[in-house]
Formats: sequence, structure tokens, C-alpha cells
Amino acid sequence: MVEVRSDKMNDAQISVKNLSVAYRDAVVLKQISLDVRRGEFVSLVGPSGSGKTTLLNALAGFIPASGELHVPGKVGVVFQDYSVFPWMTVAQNIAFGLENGKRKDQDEIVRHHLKLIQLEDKGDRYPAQLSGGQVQRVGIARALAPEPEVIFMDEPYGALDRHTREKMQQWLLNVWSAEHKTIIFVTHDIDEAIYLSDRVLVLNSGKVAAEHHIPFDRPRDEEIKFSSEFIRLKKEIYDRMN
Amino acid sequence: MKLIRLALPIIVFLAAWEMISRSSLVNAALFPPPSKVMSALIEMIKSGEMFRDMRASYLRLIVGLTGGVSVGMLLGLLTGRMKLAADLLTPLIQILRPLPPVAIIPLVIVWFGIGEPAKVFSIGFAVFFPVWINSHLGAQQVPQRLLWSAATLTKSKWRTFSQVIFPAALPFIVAGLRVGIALSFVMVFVAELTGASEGIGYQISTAHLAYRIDKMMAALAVLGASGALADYLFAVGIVKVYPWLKFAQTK
Repeated sequence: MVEVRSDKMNDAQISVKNLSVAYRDAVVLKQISLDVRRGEFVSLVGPSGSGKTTLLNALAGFIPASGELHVPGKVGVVFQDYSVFPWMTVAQNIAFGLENGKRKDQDEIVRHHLKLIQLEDKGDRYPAQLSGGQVQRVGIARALAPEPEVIFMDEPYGALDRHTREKMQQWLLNVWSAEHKTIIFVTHDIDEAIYLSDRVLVLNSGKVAAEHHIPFDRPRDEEIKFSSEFIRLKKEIYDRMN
Repeated sequence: MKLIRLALPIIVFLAAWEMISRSSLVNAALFPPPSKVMSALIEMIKSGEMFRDMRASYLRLIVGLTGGVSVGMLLGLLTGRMKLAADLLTPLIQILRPLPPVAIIPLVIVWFGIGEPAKVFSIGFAVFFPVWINSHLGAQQVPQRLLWSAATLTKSKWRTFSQVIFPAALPFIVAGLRVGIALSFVMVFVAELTGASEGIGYQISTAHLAYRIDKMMAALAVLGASGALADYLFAVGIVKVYPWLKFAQTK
């Protein structure tokens, strides 16, 4: 098994060659190669069992994988469930990843992120006292606060209702453009993938079945979801998934 | 309103008991009414024996409970998280666990004599198992994704343990502690039946020998009430220390 991790990457921030993952005898990911630019927003879509979550977990270094893997050492992660610690307040969650630096600086970072997620007055609340959308924003703030170079998101909006979900997509795009992070985003929602991403990778049976560059200018408006270009892309991706 | 709902069954129970034992349906010597039990209790408080016995029992209980809880929690978290510790310790603990804790008392007396160490050990031994198994299961069920999230946020093993694994296991540990507290009241009574010269259990057995049913019942009432109070104080106190537990419990 070869696994190389480096903080000194140039144009490609994530670079993967022939990445494979096997559970016992079953091969879950087969020889995947992938480069991701600094600041790029890449979505992974695919049917259940296609390997999209496995790919994210392998890239984040959570599970062992074979092949050549270059990923920055400092990453952040947001999951659909268990994305925050229920025993910590909102502010404590955000501060958890801030180990170095003075207390005063930490407080400042927490304040900045509370503002970013529009929960300035809810720093001392527990996650159980917040709505689903608010909890996910706390999870994203906690991932952002230590300033990772890449953020991995595994269906972060999977449990949200449609309205909240759309508001959160818009918010994420604003944060992404303000904070200049590289984002790898797993979703089963094709609309979400197209609307958010620079590039959409379709996974099927452990392989990248298709790659789509999304041509829409940024900042994007919800209106593009009704354009013929958007619908054409959606149909292409849909066909590749099934 | 709530207070009435909580107190009413007790009042009805005591009133029914009072009436039945004052009627000629039962032998009042074997079944003294609550009023007589109450005066026996006042007599025991005035003579100072009740406080002496309570002090002795509570002291044993606190020391035994503390010991059983500390060892049980520590080993449970260890076996729940570390494969090596689980392989080494779990078979042994699982063989000892089905033993009724009362059954080890004769052996404990052989080892420790009839003094305080024997009583404290018996209580600690009984408390250990529910606390261990709950801590073990609690530590085992920590969601993998929480641990992955934590790994991206801190490299410190200690912070991961104290701020992620321990609180994630805490609702289980709390359940184990409540069983442990209840068991400690059972064990303090049983341990005091042999070789004690003070304590609530001792009081019950000497009242039995003296055929003072009223005193027996008074001591039983004190034992029962202290057990209920201890459980209540624990349940309230733990939520004061960890306020988020009230959300975990309602879910």
C-alpha cells in the first residue's frame, strides 16, 4: 500500500492515482484516478452502493486504501448525522479544533464563525436546541474554524427539508467563495450537485462512470435550475447513474 | 398538582395499612400500624441509634460504591475501546458476572474477616458489574463518524477520550450507575447481617431477634427512603453537572 500525504502541492491540491479500496474480498473502489484543483468544488454522485461515500472516506484518510494518494494533511469533515458533538455548546463545538494559539484569538475565531453561520446569539445553546439546518451550519463552522485546506462533506443536507436545503446550498456557495476552500461533496441529489459544483463525478460500481464540467458562471442564481442547459446536464447525469 | 399525584399513593397505602392493622383481621404484633412504626422511629432517633446506624451504613455504602464505580468505569471504558484489554479481561469478567453478589459474602469473610473491609469489598464487587458492562457498551457504541470528525480536529488522544469518547458513553454509564446505586443498598444490608455492630442492616437483624417488628419496619423504611433519595439526587445532580444529558434522555 502506498500512501503519500503532502502539504506542498501546486496546482492539483488532491491527486489520486489508481486508488482502490477492498473490504474483505469485495473490491469497493476500482483504480480511481482524480485530480482536484485548489479551491475547486467537486461533487460525487451515484446510486447507493456506488462507492461515493467510500471514496470520500478514503480521500479523507479514514479508511485504508491502495494506490497513490496526495491529500493535504489538514482536512475538515461534515457528515449528515453525528456532525456535531451533542454534549458541547455551539461555541464549544466550533472551538474544539482550535488547539493552538491564545485564548483571546480562539474567542475571536469562534465569534467570526458564529457570525458566518448567523448564530451570533446562540453560542451557548446545545445542538438539541437548534433546528436541523442550524445544526448543519454549526458542523460546517466547526470544520472551517481550524482553517483546513479541503473540506469533505458527506450528504450534509440529506436530512433537511427542501426549502432549508435550498437556503443552505446558497449559503454554502457564499461561504465557499468567501473562504476559498476546496470542497468534495457527496450527494445523491443531482440538482444539488450541478448547482453547487465546478465538476460532477458520477460513480457507478466503484468506478468513475462520467465526469461533467459545469459551465454556469458564478455567482449562480436559483434561476439556472430551470434553464435548458441545466436540465440537459441533469438528464445526462441521470442516465449515467442508472 | 404534581405533588399530590406523587404523594397520594403513599398516603393511601399508609392509610390502608393503618386501618387493616387496627382491625382484628391481622395480628397487630406481627403487622404493626404505621403510627406505631413512626413512634419506634422517633424513639430510635432520640436514642441516637438511628443516626449511628445510618452513619455506619452510608459510610460503607459510599466507600464501596466509589470503589466499584471507579474500577467498573475505568475497565469498562478500557475494554470498550481497546481490543487487547477486551480480549484479556472480558472472559474473566463475564464468568464472574452471573454470580449473585450475595453468594461471595462467605468467601469474602474468609478472606477479609468480618470487619469493614469485607463489607466494603462486597458492596464494591456487586456495584462493579453493572457499571462495567454499561461503560463497556457505551464506549463500544461511539459512532465511528464522531471519532473520524474528532480525528480531523485534534491529534490529542486525551482530548479525544475525555471530550468525545467519555461523553458519548455517558448516557450508558449513567444507566449503569443507577443500577449500581440500587445494588449498593441491597449489598449494605446483606453485608451487615454478619459481623456488624452497627448499621441499618444490623438494626434490622437485631430488631428481628428482639421481636421488635415496629423497629424492623422503621429501619426498613429508612433504608428504602435513603435508596430512593440517593437515586433521585443522582438523577438530578448528574443533569446539573452535564446539562446536555436532559436532551439525550428525552430523545
